[in-house]
Amino acid sequence: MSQKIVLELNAVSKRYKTELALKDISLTLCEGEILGFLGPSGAGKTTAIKIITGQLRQTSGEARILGTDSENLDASIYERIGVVSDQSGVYEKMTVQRNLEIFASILEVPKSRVTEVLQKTGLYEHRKKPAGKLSKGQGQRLVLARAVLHKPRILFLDEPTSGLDPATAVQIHEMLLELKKEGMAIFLTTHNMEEAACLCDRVALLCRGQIAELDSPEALCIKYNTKKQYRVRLEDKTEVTLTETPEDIRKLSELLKENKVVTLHSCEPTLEQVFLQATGYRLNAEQGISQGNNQKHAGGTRRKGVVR
Amino acid sequence: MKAIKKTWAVAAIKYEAIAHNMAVLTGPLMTIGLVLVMRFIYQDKSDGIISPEALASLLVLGISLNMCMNGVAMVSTLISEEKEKHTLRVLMTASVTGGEYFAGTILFPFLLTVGINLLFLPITGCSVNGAGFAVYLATTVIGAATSCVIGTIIGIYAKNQMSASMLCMPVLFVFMLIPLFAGLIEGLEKITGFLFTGVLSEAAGEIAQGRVYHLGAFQTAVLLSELVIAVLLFLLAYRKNGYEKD
Repeated sequence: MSQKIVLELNAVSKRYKTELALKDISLTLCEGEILGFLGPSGAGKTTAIKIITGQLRQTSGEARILGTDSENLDASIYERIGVVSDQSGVYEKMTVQRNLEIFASILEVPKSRVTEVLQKTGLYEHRKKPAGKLSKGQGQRLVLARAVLHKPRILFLDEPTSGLDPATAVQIHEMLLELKKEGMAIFLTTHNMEEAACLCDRVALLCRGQIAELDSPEALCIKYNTKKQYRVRLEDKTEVTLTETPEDIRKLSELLKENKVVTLHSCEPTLEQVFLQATGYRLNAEQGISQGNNQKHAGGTRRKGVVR
Repeated sequence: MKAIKKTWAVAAIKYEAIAHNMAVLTGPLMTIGLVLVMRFIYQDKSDGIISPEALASLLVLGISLNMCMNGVAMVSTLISEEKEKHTLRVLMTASVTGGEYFAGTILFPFLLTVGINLLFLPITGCSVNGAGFAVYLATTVIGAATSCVIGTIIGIYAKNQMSASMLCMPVLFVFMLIPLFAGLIEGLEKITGFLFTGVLSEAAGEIAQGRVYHLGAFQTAVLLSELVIAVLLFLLAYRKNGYEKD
């Protein structure tokens, strides 16, 4: 990638007494890129964010953010990055606008930017409401608005759509894609594979503190498409699955020649299935993993994700 | 300049938190209200003229309550509220440093504690001469600072407002009740001299009775050493846990 690297992890490990939370994590993040850090709860996603942003110290390895070693970071780094954790709160008794104004004064941002961000996040009409009266989705948009108020170069998002309804999750996704277009680098942790597949340029599949795979979602799906199959829907409304055996290829060819094929789909695995194959672990078992029921995911609360 | 701006922003957050949190506001309102009510009761019982001894006890009551309720309890509640609402980490990841947060957090509680102590003089009807006022102001300022630092230490260890209240209890017992009951229980009278609230109460009591009070070396040492100890304990707790332990 020709873009400028803004974040670099080199063999970063973190050990908590007896537990190894992260093991030899190496990756880079460039300007205008969305990198997904995917894994079940407890995989080490939040630990990674905390190390990168200087809230936690790694046991070994090197993390560089905007050219500075994460071990030498001071509070001024937060003037150039934005952090949204899954538990980022708002000042509930203050109005939406006041919430942003306070942070505008902390981050030395002109007040006109507050109006701009309020409009961009669709919160302008709610600006006089106490933040505590916002819906969960609006609250999350406020958190995001606050994080991008100072136009950070890197935005860290820890499960940004966790517990949101699908419509709000889509709004958040749109916002993130817009920020990406503006050149912001986004480091996103999630256990929602649908979200990762539609947002991320590259994803790191994290399991038990280790990166099992790191590539674009498409590349990973192709890489793990070992049993090539094609699902064919025929005129008589039957559906057949064909493989790449000579017999199936001949059959498919005949069906196409006879114009009997209504639809033809390749059956490469979803990112969820890739994760399962790459790690041997399964994400969001309670949520019905493979067919990407985003609604089901978004409506629920945060769940434990690791199931053998 | 940047640091002042950030400190002021934190102080503005705390100001709004104080103004909107009834649990926090109860402290100053109750303190002032109680002293006022007690004054009327004393006046009523003594045909409008309060004796210097009664005036002194009124002032001691107000000061002890004020130092603990508005210094210790208010600061610890403000910090623990931020933890409860998950806004403390947001501030810390918005480039606010520990020092700026500390200064911003204690600014209004400190001013409020000092202000209320000064307000007690007209409320109780206590007349103080220049030297007496200087001693009263000096002890109040040092005492209020100590209270706020103790409140911050409790705030560091409290996970939420409920646990902050629980952790405040023993501190309130020591710093509030001992000076209050020192006049009634002989054993406590010996201990109260070793407490900053005790020194404050002693000074206020003397001043209220129209006596000239000189802050002796021992009293000065108590006031300053407890402030220094509180600051050291705060630094120790902060180094170990930050404001919020992971």
